[in-house]
Amino acid sequence: MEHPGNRQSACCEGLPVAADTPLPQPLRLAETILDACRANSLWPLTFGLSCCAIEMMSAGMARFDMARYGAEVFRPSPRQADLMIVAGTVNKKMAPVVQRLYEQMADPKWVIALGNCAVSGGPFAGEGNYAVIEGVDRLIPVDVYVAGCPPRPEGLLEAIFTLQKKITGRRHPFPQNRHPQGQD
Amino acid sequence: MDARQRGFHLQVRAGKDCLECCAAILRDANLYPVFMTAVHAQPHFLLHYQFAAAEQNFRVMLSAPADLENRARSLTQLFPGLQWHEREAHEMFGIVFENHPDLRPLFLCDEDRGLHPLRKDTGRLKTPEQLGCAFKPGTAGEAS
Amino acid sequence: MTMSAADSRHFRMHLNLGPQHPSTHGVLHLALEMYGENVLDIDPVLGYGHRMHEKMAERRPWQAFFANTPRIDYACSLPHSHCYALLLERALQIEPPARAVSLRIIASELNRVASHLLWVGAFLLDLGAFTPILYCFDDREQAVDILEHMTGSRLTHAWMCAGGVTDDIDEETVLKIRAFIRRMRARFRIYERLVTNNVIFIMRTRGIGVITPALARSCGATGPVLRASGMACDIRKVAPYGGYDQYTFDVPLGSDGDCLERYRVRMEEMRQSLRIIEQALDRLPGGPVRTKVPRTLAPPAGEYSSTVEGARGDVTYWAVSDGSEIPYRLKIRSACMGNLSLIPELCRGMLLADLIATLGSLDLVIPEIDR
Repeated sequence: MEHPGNRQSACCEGLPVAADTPLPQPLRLAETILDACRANSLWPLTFGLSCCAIEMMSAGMARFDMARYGAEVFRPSPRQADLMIVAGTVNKKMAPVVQRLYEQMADPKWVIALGNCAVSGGPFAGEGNYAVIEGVDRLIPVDVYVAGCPPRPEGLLEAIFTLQKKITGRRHPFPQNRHPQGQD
Repeated sequence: MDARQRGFHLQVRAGKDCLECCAAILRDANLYPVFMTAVHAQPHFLLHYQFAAAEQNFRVMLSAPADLENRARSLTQLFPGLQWHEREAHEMFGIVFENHPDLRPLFLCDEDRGLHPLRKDTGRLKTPEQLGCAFKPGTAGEAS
Repeated sequence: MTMSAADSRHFRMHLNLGPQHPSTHGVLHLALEMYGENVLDIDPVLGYGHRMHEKMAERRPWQAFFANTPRIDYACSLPHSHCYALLLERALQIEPPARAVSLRIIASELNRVASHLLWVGAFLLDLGAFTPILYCFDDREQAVDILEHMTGSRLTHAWMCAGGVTDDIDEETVLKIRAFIRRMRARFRIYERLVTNNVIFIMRTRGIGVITPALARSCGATGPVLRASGMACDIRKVAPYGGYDQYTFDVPLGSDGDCLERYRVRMEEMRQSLRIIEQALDRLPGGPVRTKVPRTLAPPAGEYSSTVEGARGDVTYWAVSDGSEIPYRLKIRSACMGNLSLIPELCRGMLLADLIATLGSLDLVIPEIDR
């Protein structure tokens, strides 16, 4: 099943054009601008499940400062968020909740699987596992995977950059966010 | 039994009928419930409770067997704090606590009702003697 | 005010608080029966963070469980590892070296400070104050940096083992810890001005969520929750373990048992933790940090228990050994479970906003309850 959030430019969603027909120039320009705006103002959903939630909070705080890259405005309601950062272990009881929250988010939407548990079940996967879902991509489509147990907050920042590249084709849609000494 | 090695000072092994009166004695001694859990042993489950004094260094383990139909008396009338512990033991092991006010599953989802994940396969079961907790009626073990 | 039965029916509402909610500190689901803004009944629904720790313990060797212990209560993980290490050491009659005992205390107290800072920030965020969490996390980052130097990890510290700790600290880390203590003592003044004397904070917390000692004890509440109600129950004093009897520190006690008192107790606990760390650094002995232990650990058959004072309360591990190298049963008693079980009794009739304040003041980490 195709998920619109996975597509490079979600602006194409719903237009009555065939997939391989190029868009007319004005629409392509609008799409580029909208994608840059979306990528630079991702609004994450507050969705901390376990340990990785603390690192997600640290990434939003003053030291690592996700606000520099536009992703500071954590929204508690999925209706107002466009980025779901699954930070922690998803288990069988939580799985329908994850799916419902994903469905409640409006398009275009993206998902970052933060930490080993969200990527593949983490340290809880394996023989005798009766409760943990081995990877949130079994429930919802994931755009960026961040490995680590827990990953450093810089890992989450890198995930934001990767997602921005996925949305717009460039790591920093607005050049002023690039590191001044050229470290990207 | 050395309290320093074991981590508790008094071990009481009660028969399944004496569990409530032993617990009442501990409640009157102003001990608070630390936890309640079960161990899957052969031929019956072993129930273990730990109580502690709040302002003194004193811990008690109270153990009793469940009966062969996996039923036991609930201690929630004496210690309301054991309510959730008994719910957990019920869903993890399948022990039914009589007189428990609300024996719903606590942690597992609805589709895992009856899963009883902490039960062991028959090949791995041990007897209380093999686990160092033999039950002899009418005795109590005290720490030095 | 009298109201017809038909009218009053319209004010009743079933509200699900969680499991996704900014104020539930993880994945707690409270099914609330509301009458207007007042809570009639609360049914906590747990299990959204259940990760099978106890079952995992039954499948692997004893020492492999040190990979699980940091992940149970991840906000203050070193006391859990410490508790499990003590359990194994007691069962196998292993003595860790003196340097390891001191290092464990230094790291556990640093972890306690970091955990309380996280709590203060999150609690204030629940009450609607966005600024303190930035200061708290700034300070927490300093503590977490030091813990990263010591243990190799920012959050889930797999550093303690049976017989000691896996790695030593160097002189640079000692200097960093001393600098952190000096810095933190100055920072408390900021928290006094910003938070403790803030009139809105006081109005939101004074007299809210009063927990009596009898209620706390019957539900098995421990830690700062119990101490704020006036009971002097700190495992480090009552049943000293791991060298704590060598150190001089006070156990802060409250009297009113409300949210404000629980905040004050935790703030004072941070000060006392710094005191303990300073004493431990002054007396830090030399020597190895790990006793040689056998490759496979197999405690003799029987039951073993150990208890430590975690940041949230009494953490108890209880194990049954059948004499083999794999535990037969491991029970983890989480501090938060006793604290949360107060909620249905405590919060009946409360305003929803006060419920949020009370829930926040209990300092819950739900995956610790769910294990």
